[in-house]
Amino acid sequence: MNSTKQFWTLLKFQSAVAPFAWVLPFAFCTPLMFMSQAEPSLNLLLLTQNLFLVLLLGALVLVPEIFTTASGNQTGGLGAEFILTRAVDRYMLARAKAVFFYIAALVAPLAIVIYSLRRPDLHVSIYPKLVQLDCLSHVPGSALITGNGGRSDIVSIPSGNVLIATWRTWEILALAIIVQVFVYVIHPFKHRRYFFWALILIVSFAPMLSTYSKRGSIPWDEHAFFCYAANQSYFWILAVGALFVSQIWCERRFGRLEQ
Amino acid sequence: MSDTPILIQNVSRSFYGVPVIKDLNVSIKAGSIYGFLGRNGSGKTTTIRMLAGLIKPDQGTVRISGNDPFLIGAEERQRLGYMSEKAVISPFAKVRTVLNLGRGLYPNWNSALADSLVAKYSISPKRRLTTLSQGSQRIFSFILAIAPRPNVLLLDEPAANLDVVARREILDDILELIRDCGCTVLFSTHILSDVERVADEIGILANGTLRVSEQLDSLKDSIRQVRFYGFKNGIPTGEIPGSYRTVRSKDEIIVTMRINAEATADAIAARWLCEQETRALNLEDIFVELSRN
Repeated sequence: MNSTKQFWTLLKFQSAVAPFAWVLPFAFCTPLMFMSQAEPSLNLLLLTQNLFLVLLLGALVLVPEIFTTASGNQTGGLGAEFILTRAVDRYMLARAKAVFFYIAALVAPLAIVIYSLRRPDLHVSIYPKLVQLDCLSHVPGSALITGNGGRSDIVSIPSGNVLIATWRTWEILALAIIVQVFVYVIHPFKHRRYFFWALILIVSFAPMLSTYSKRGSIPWDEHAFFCYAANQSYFWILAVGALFVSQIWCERRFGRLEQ
Repeated sequence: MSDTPILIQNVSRSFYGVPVIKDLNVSIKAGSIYGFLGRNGSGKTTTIRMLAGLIKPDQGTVRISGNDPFLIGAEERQRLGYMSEKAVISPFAKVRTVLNLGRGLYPNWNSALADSLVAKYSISPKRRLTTLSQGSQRIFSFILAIAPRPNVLLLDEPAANLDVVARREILDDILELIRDCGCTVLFSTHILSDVERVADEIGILANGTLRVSEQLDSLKDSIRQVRFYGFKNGIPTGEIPGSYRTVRSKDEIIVTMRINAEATADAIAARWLCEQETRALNLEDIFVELSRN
């Protein structure tokens, strides 16, 4: 059978049987609220509490049977059993699932990138002097300006809204790659569900760790953003390279997994 | 097409150290209908899932039309139909979506057959699978398994949750399929009347071990229950050749055994100096006797 036809048939089927995947874009639209504010705080802009949704989406689309016991028995309505016993190539099924997953995960951040083009420049509040200096030294074109009421903590970042939107897209892409590899790694384990929920907890609470950074140090998420701003092309080359390598590995892995 | 499209040789499989299948050997001839019987947890579903390429054996060989089912691709899978024990299609899917999937994946998909069966069993293409009754979901799974006109059909409990009429109709459809394309069918069930109705050959699985695998008529002719009583020298000990189950009491021994030239009830009674009474068994009796621990 024609591989291209098989791929499109599987992709269409995936989108039809996983309508829950389209809930995610709505959840990611919350940053739009902050974009409409004048002089928002940078740490508020970078705070992402809904990254765990990428994990849930990944598991539900790629290996829904992860939520069931790994007894090698039936997986209810969730598993890949039905589709794997049709006339499909395993690697093609893994590819169709992955494409659907990445589309569903990235559609909202990409929409936010487009939305940010309406008002690309950003005036953002960065209070600690150390963070201000880090920003000014890394982010091209950034400059201290005097804000409303003579405030001295305002930094102007040309195309800052676009920068933040693409940073968020990069974060989600990187997380999606990690999720895809992770779920295929833990798939054969008896207690895979617990490994998965542990990762959900880590990803959910990781952004909060930035609020506990030591006095006089730069929060890791802000520093990561500044590094991204300074080396965007390297970040994207790294992500796309990782995407290709992980995809090849996951397709092979899926071919060997039992249901 | 291979002479034995379904072949299982010396297969063992365990889950987390618990053996489920032990040294299983089954070969099914092309064009035959094989009824796979066994109690809950006897290993039927595990065997069928190995044949469907969902799991691999720990030891031994599983072949479908000469190929390892775990490794086959889309091309070979077009000739393999599978119906799972449970409804394992996404609950969000609509009947029409799944039928379209079949059309898209199988060049030989028989749309006329699928549409006529969907209409026959009053399954609306617009409905979501989750809104169908369990029986209708089973029937729909069956339609999906036979619409590609496979050479080998694996049916795991096809008649579960079906009313008598639907069960009969599905069995008739299986027979029609065999007539039309010489398909080889393996189906597992608890409903012995279904086996008697359609199967050429049966296998009884108990605790992961195949107790018998032979033609239905031959099985009924050769397995008997014999009561030995009136022992002149007391109750003897020792194994009886060809016995499946032996129950000893104070003054009698009841043996379920295969009667053949070497082990006739008369010969054993003469050796033990006792009387014997032989009883023919129906399939249900044979199944119960062979499946008991």
